[in-house]
Formats: sequence, structure tokens, C-alpha cells
Amino acid sequence: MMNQKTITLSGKTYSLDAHGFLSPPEQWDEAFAEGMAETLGIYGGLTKEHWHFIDYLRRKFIDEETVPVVVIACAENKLRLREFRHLFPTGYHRGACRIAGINYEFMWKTNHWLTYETSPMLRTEYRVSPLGFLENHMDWDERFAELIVREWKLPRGLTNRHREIIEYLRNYYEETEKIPTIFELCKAKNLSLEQLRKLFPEGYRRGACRIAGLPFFP
Amino acid sequence: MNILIGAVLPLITLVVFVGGMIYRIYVWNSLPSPKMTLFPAPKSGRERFVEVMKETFFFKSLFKGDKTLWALGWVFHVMLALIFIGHFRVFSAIPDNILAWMGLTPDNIDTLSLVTGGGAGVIILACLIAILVRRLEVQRVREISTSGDYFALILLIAIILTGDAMRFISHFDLKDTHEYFYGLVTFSSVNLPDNGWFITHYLLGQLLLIYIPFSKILHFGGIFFTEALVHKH
Amino acid sequence: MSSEKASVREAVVESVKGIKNGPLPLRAYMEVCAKCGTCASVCPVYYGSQEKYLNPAERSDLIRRIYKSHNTLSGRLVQRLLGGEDGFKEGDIDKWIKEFYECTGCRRCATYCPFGIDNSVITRKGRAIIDSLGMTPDTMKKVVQVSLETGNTDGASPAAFHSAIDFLMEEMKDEHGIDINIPVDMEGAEYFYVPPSGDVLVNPEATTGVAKVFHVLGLGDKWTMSSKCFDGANYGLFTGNDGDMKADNKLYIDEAKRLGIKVMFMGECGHAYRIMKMMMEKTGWWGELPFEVVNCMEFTADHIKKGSFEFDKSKNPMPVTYHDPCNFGRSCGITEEPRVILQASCQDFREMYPNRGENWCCGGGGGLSAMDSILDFRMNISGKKKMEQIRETGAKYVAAACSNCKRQLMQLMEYHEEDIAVGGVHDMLSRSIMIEGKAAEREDLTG
Repeated sequence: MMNQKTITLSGKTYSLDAHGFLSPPEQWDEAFAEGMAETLGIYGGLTKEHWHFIDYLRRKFIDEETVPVVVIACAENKLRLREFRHLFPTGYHRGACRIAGINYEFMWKTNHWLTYETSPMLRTEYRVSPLGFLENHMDWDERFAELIVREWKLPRGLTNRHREIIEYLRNYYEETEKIPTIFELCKAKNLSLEQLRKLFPEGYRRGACRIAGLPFFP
Repeated sequence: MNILIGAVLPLITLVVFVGGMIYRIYVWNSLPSPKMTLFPAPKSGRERFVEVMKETFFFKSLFKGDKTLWALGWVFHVMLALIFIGHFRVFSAIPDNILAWMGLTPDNIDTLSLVTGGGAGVIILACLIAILVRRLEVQRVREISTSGDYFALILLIAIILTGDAMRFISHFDLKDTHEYFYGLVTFSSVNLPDNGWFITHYLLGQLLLIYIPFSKILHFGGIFFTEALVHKH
Repeated sequence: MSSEKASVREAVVESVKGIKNGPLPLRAYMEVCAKCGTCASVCPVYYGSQEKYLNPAERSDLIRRIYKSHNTLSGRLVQRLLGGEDGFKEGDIDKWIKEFYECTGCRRCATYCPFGIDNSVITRKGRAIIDSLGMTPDTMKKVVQVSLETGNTDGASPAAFHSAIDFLMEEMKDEHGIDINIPVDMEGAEYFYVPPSGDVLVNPEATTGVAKVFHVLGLGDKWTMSSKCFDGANYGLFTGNDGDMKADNKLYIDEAKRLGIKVMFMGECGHAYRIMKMMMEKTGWWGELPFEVVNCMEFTADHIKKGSFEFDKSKNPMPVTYHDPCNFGRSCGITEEPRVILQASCQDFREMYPNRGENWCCGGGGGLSAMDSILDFRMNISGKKKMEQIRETGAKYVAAACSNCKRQLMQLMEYHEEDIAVGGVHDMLSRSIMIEGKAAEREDLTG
């Protein structure tokens, strides 16, 4: 990530600075924002709240030639920190500002503390397909599952029940290169459809199989 | 010639060494010193005194930092201390008389001298050579070494070699030095012992003493200032 | 040589010659170094890359050589006999600027040197000379300037500060459902909280932690912050400029007197506390003062030991380790207090080895963490040992009670693609301290 000089999103190539931020800034367009967002752990497209914040940042950046500190930015947009962190999992500088097309040098010139925020890290090297499925099932680890569970806003996070089912699915796939039918799974793991839905809100394929790191099976 | 080497030079050495050391310590003492405590630091004056003593006698922080160097350096200094004490025998007969009064026979004294003095002379030589090799071989030491560093080591090695030679090769008799120094101190005569090893040893030794106040070897004075500073609360 | 270069040379040589007038340690260091190489074996920078110019004794020799050739008998003799220069050649000033800003001032060398030679003192002298020539690197200059003008290194106005504080109070209300106060500019308060500005504007959980401590102790109206003086960071220490350092400090002393407080309550910033306590207070820069200097961690740890707080450790389940900032551990002796706080707030606290006064520098000390012009150096050389140490613990969160350390560590994690979060000590407390029976409501964030 640190030495990447370009990135290709939806077929268009943008050039980046040494820290992975858009440079020069004129290249920015909405497709960049959408594409970058996905690499930064925002699955399912940018929502209205995302855009509200991104537009605010761009106004500050382009019109006022400044970048506010995260606390001020959140205060001005009436966002609690945890709501903000939920919108932008990789944080303010590395998340929101990056999506808004602000470059590292500018941030650093404005205020060197800006480039020091301590936010949770998202390992962006999970290569996922546009639908959010892991490109290579071997890349799976528990962190990947945790991130998806966070997307789903499950109150108790990743539980042992989740882990059991994920293990079952992965073993099945590794042995047969296929996924079990939903009924096989429910029988093997003593699950009702109701319970499955509760554990994996997005359903069987987009829920359970995706979180287990398995590829998309239409 | 005798007078030059035997009387004038030693006088110069004495003046330069004592004068130099006093000057150095005086200057250091007169300079302001800021607080620069390094923790963990002793809390009372007494504890601080103990810490500085531990540094002086056991090289405590060096032990934590580099054990190999500590081993070489500490053994070297211990041997040096033994040799230093032993040299009292060189200047006058009084130490020997005291030992005799304590019950040691001349043979006992000779053995004691051989073991502690001779032994120290050999071990210290080994240490010095190891230290020199270290300075040449270890990258981080070699790259910062200056001519002064090598000079000091080579001078010390030469002094030890000539000293050991006096003992083991020419079987030097201390009666000669007793006579010489007695004559010097009473301003009555200058009977420089007619021994090549002795003269070389004596000359090099004086060179060392003259060199000390102007070189890094005065670290033995300096550490009381620098170590005391970082341990002051 | 052009006249400008000649005057640079003159200024440098004059300044170095002046070392013979003291202070004592600087002069003694010029004369006592035995070139034993121990400092190199314990230096984090040299550990990162064993090159001659990174050897602490060699760096100090930049000045020592000049000193010796002018001030010592043997030095002068050698120069007369062998000719050559006194150690400062044309163009050397660039070397000085580069190399004196490669020492993190961590004082590890001083801890292990058999003579207690403190190369950070020599580095600071080098930087002072560079500063007197107006050649301090731009970043550092800028930070000092901004700090002297606005009272904080962010250049934030009192209005911005107020918004930030209001925001934090809303955050705490959101977390706990009750009002927890952060008083600002309250005259007559007892405690004057001075954090690094980053702990308010960018990493605010440290400040909310302190606010919660005061709240639980019933001291919610006995403390205050200042909308003008809310940044303990003092870059005059790093540029070697005593004048700037004292001027910056004076702003805070004056503010403290104005507010009539009794305790200068320093936040989680190593060099801020060191300057305030070990330099200002202990050597009495401003004479008798109506207040004493205390660190927030001492205060909190004391109360934890008295049993004043309750914690819900399950809020911090991930493995946590503590990085001793050099200024706190080696220069101020504050080592146990942060551990008391972390052990009380976290489920799985682990130590790094070595630690406390023997800990390794994060690699961003001496103000280096603010300099992105030397990012590669910090990431690959000066921070190398620290990275190894942290990885060894298996921790997922590194607590560091120092803004500069946090910046450096955060960049290390990003650069080396490590999934480890970085934050302060009171942050952990803020997440798990129980107020009216429960700890803060937060989303499950592992970082």
C-alpha cells in the first residue's frame, strides 16, 4: 500500500502518491470515491451519510483549502465518533480523506498531527470481488469474518457458533470444491432456517458462505 | 645523561602529572552542572554515593551494556590495581619490611610477588591484547577509533612487556630501585639502575603519566563527575 | 569560501570552542569518551543500520573533533604536526543538519556508557548551533513558530478548541447517558490539565479518560483546561533553542498563575512532563511557584490503588502492551503508574522486554516523529527494534503515553502492514471505567 503509485477502479486508472492518496487531486470523480471506499472496507456502496461527509470534506479542501481535524469535522457534521468510525472503518485521514481525494502532502502541510490519528486498521489486502466475496479462499482469516460481522452490526459480534459453521463450510469446500446445500448445512449443524438467518442476516450464500471466505456460487 | 633521565625527567613527570590532574579536576568542579537524572535513580545522597561506588568498582552500567567488554575491562582494571599496589615495593624497602614483620619470609614474599605481580603482569597483557584485537576487529569500535586510542593501547602494552621482561628475563633486583629512589628523594645521588628493560619501562611509564592528564585516560577522574550527574535525583 | 560559508564555519567553531566554559557534562563528554563502542551496541538507530555515521560516538565526534583540535593540548599538537583541518569542512553543516536530526535523544547510550556520557546532550548542542544559524529543518521551525503564536502545535484557535471540547462532552454523554463535564478557563480550579493537543483534537479518548477520572472522584468542578494553553508539547527542546523552550513554557506558567490553580496536571506527553517537572520545577526556572507539577498517570494510579474506581475489563479484551516513552521511563521515572492503569483496565496486559528505564525508543524521539522528510529512516532504521519488540508480544494494542510516540508507532504499523492499534493509556481507562454501574457504550471496536 505504501509504495503503490496507481490504482485501477472500475476500469479507470488513477495515479497516487507514495502513501496511497490521490495525487494530483484533479483526477477525483465519484467513481474514484466508490472504488476506493470498497478497498477501505466499505461494502455495499456509499450511502447518503457517506456522501454528506465526503462533500463536506471536499468543500473544505477545494473551496477553503483546509482540512479540519477529525473532532471538528465530526462536530460540524453532528456525527458521534463511533458513528463516524462505522461509516469509515479505516478512520478519518486514511479513510474519509482518502476517499474524498485529499492528498497526504496537503494534509501534512495543513497540520502535521492530522497524519497521526490512531484509528482501527483494516487490512486492505483482502482482495474481494465487486460483490464482496474473497477472491482467493486461502486468504481467509478470522479478521475477515470479524469485519463482515461488523458490517452486519451484530450485537454480539463473531460468536463461537459462527466459527463452528464457518469451519464446517470451509472444510466441506476444501474437500469437495463445492458448497453444501442449505439443508445439508442445517442438518449437519442442527440449525433451523430461523437460526441461520439470525446468525447470517444476508442469507446463505451472501451471508454464511461469504463470511466463510468461499467464492460466489450462483 | 644519567641526571637527565634519572632526575630531571622524573621531576617534570611529577609536576605535569600532579599539576595536570589538579587542574583538570579543578576545572571540572568549577563548571555549572544541570540536572540530568537518568532513572532508575538513587533517592538519597547516601544511595547515590553507593551507586557511584558500584560504578567505580564494578562497572555496573557497562555490565548491563556489553558483557564482553565488561569482562575485559574489569579484569584489566583489577590487575592494574594489583600492579599499582605492588609497585610500592619498587620505590622503597618499607613494604617488604612490613610484610616481614607480619611473618612472611623472603621466599614467601618472592612467591607472593610472582603470583600476584607476575600473574597480574601476564593476565593484564592478555587483556590488553584482547582489547586491541577487539578494537581492530569489531566494526562499531573500529570505525570510531582514533590514533589516540591505538597509541594508548600500544603504549600500555609496551610498558607491560618491558615490565614483564624485567621480571622474567632479566631477573631485576629491586634493591637497585630502592637505592635509586632513596637517592632521588634525599637529593643525594642519582644511581639509575643499569638495566635496559628498566630504563625503557621507566621512560615509557613516565610518558604515560605525562600523557594521562591530556587524554581520555583521565576517565578515571572524570567518571566521578559524569556518573554522579546522571545518578543525582 | 564565500563569506556566508566562512561565517557559518566561524560561528560553528566559536560555539564549539565555547564548550570549555561549560556546562560541565558537555565539556566532560568532550574529554572522557574512551571510544569503547558500548553506546553503539545499545542505540536503536545503530541497531537499525550499522553504519559509521549512525554510530553515536561518531555523531558526537562531529563536535568532539573540533573541540579537541582547538581546546586540548594533544589535539592542537596533532593539528600542528599533521596539518589538515579542525574537523569542520566546507559543506559539513549539511551533514550536521542531517545527522543531528537522526538521533532520537532517547538516552539509552547514557544508561549503558561506563562513564555516563549522554550523547543526547551533544546532539542537542549540535541542534542549538544549527538553530542559531537559522538552519533548523523547516518542519521543526514551523511547529515552534505555530506554538509560540497560538499556544499550541496545531495552530488551533480557542473557538476550535471549544468546539472540540463540546464535542467530547457530547461523546461522553452518548457513552454513559449522563453529563460529564470538561471545564474550560475556570478560574480558581485546583487542577490545570495540560495534555498534548493531539489528545484533544485527534485522539480524544485520553482526555475523556481524564474527565471520567475527575467525575468519578467527585472533582468534576475542581479541574479545568485552558482554551489558549492546551498543548504541553514544547518543540524548543528538540530544536535545541533554550530561548524558545522557555518562552513556550512561560505561556503555561502565566496561564496557571492567572487561573490560580494549585496543581499543574500534565497529560500523556513525555517531553512536556519532563520539561515541566524535571527542568522547570526542579531547577526553578521561574522561582517560587504557587503550584506543583503532577502527572495525570500518577494521580490516576494512586486512586486505582486506593480502590476509587471500578472497571469492566471485558471492554478491553484484546492483548495490550505498554511502550515506555523514553522521556517518561528514562528521564522522569514514571514507569509503574501507567502499568497500574493498564492492568486495571485491560484483560490481557503484556510486557515488552526490556522495559521501563531500559526500554527501546519508538524511533521517533527528539521530535523526529514530526518529520516526514525522514519517514523511510524512521520506519526502517530508528523504529526497527521497536517493531520487533511489539510483534514479539503478540499484542493487538500498544499503549504509549506520548503523542510523538503514538505518531511514530502508528506510522510503523501502517508502513509494515501490521494490524495493531495504537493509543494512549487513559484511552483504555476511558473504555472500561464504570460510571454509575456501567462502562462506556461503544461499538465493538478492536482498535
